[in-house]
Amino acid sequence: MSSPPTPSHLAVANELARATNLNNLTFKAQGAFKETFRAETVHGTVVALKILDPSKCDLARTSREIEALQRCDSPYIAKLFDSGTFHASDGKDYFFAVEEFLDGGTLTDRLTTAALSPDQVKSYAACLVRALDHLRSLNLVHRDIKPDNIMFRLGADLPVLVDFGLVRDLSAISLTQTWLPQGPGTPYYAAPEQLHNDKALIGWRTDQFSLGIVLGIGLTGRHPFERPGMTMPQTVGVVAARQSCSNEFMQAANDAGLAGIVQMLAPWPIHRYSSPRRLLEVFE
Amino acid sequence: MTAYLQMGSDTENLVGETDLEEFHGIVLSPVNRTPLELGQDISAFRRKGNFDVIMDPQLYVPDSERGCLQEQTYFPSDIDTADLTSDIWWSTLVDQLASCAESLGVNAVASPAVLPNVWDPEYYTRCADTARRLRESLTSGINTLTTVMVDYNQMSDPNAVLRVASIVSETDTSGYYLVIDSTVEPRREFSGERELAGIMNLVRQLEATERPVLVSHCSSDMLLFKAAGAAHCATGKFFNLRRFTRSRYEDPATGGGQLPYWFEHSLVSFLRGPDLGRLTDAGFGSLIGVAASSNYWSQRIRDQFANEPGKAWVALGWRQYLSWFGKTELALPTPTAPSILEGWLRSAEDNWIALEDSNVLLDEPRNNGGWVRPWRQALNRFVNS
Repeated sequence: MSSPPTPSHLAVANELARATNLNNLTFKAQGAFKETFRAETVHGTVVALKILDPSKCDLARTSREIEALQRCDSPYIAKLFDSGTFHASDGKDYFFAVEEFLDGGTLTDRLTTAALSPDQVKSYAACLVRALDHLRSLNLVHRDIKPDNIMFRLGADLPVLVDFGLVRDLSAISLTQTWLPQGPGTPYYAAPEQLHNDKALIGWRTDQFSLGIVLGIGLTGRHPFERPGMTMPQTVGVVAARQSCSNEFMQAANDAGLAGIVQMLAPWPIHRYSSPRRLLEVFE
Repeated sequence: MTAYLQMGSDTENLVGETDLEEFHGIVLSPVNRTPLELGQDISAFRRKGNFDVIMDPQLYVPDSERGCLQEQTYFPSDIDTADLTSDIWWSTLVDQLASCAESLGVNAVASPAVLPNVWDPEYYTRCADTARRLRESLTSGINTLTTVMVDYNQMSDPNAVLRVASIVSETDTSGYYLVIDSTVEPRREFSGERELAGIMNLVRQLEATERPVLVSHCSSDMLLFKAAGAAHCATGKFFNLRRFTRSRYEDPATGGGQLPYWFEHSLVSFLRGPDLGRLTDAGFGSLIGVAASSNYWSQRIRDQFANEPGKAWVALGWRQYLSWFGKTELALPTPTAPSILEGWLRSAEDNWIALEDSNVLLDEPRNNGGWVRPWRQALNRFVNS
């Protein structure tokens, strides 16, 4: 086993914890832009303290992430309790966020042991569609729905959407340059419009597509567009070429009574479910 | 479903007329009526019946003849100089439009849109966003329709159709108000197989979102849009001959459409007065007054021909066409409309061939049924796609 990474900002975290009345700080995870610590409030509530390195993260995107989370109020979206900028003794300003601590692991963790049963897929899908419905009501698109960004509360089997680092507020000017060949997102889970940086097509149905990929992988253990012998980049290429998902996947989805996932994965948004309400009917 | 009467110059008296009962909806014309007149019209319509009144703000061509448009409270005084990419500008416009619509008491408002220089995705994003803003501004139960303007030529590209449909359907409004912009001469039918099939596919895609499509400014091409599943089609008295064109907004208010025409279902065409006699004399009298072309107003025209042969009948002609339109719109129910229309068009083509074989030449050189085959081809392409 590899040893856990050492946090770069432990001292800053300790300073911040003191300033915000958080106790029992424990390092949990390290990402490209941020480090996450487990902490407790004075009332004993367990929270996640996230510290973002200002030299590594994009100010505008971080602000949008914070603003988006502040507007959200859904049981299926991680809650944000506090956020701001902290001037540390090293002379630098750090962004921080105090969020709900989700200690039930990620969907990635669960998928490493076994595929999901059709009933589990339906149950998770219904929760996550409600999250998408909530985001849509706020004119937000997550743009990075994938198993790593779906977590669970300890002891509960209800998924929670996390990590709004790529969130897009459709009522605000896009931060993505038009000349980029590919828009923000994780290619393996991205919709064709993301892969083409087709910004005008980005909307809630973009998240619907990514959720369809997640559910498809959860159900079958394979990417719905993957043909036998294909590599991951080749599979992404199939999505980018606006082809349909594999016959094997369509058959598996049908057999599981989850043919609705195939419609979620339509290459053009107009062919996906037109409203969260309609999509929810598929899973309830 | 409901046919809509697209109001124009001095057309308010057509609302609720005899044998035009199929029109239960009206699209107001702020270009032709002052704010006071619009208010009076709506009150009068309400007294005549339970009409569904839609407001089309008609900002398509900002630099055109504006008629009464500049008097409307929502008309932006800075429209010639404004930065039309400004969110603030559109928000202000939408708020004023919503306020105007609420004071008029209309049932629905089509979101404002201008004709672009380039029909690109950003333009449609703006259209969808404007519709969203309008929906949020309207507070008193007035429905928002997303105005979807399309370039006729661009619709020949199947991917363009899907792209437009995908973008405009992102905003959840009560329906769509489809406007087709083209350079086809006003007195000519659309005759592009791929273009028409594309527009039909667009209608189908939008209807699949469970929000009704109202195709504005229709002429006899209503047949194709209904076959595609459009919930509603709108036409006006001059739309027997004209459709939406940029030049329409530059014409004098009294211009065009002053010749009398009869709309004939059996040929899917407009006929001039002499053509009616010509067909009868050549033994094709059975082609006159087929299906809904035979109506109260066609009988009035026949009576007038018999009793007052020299009297003008242009106003009767408008009504004969409108009556055909309203009844025929109702006779094309989804999903049997394509097969019904195929039968009608096949018959129309046979009739035109019979006329050609008998060397029966109608008054207007291009009134030869040449559009019927492309319409059939477009219908086939649509059905098989």
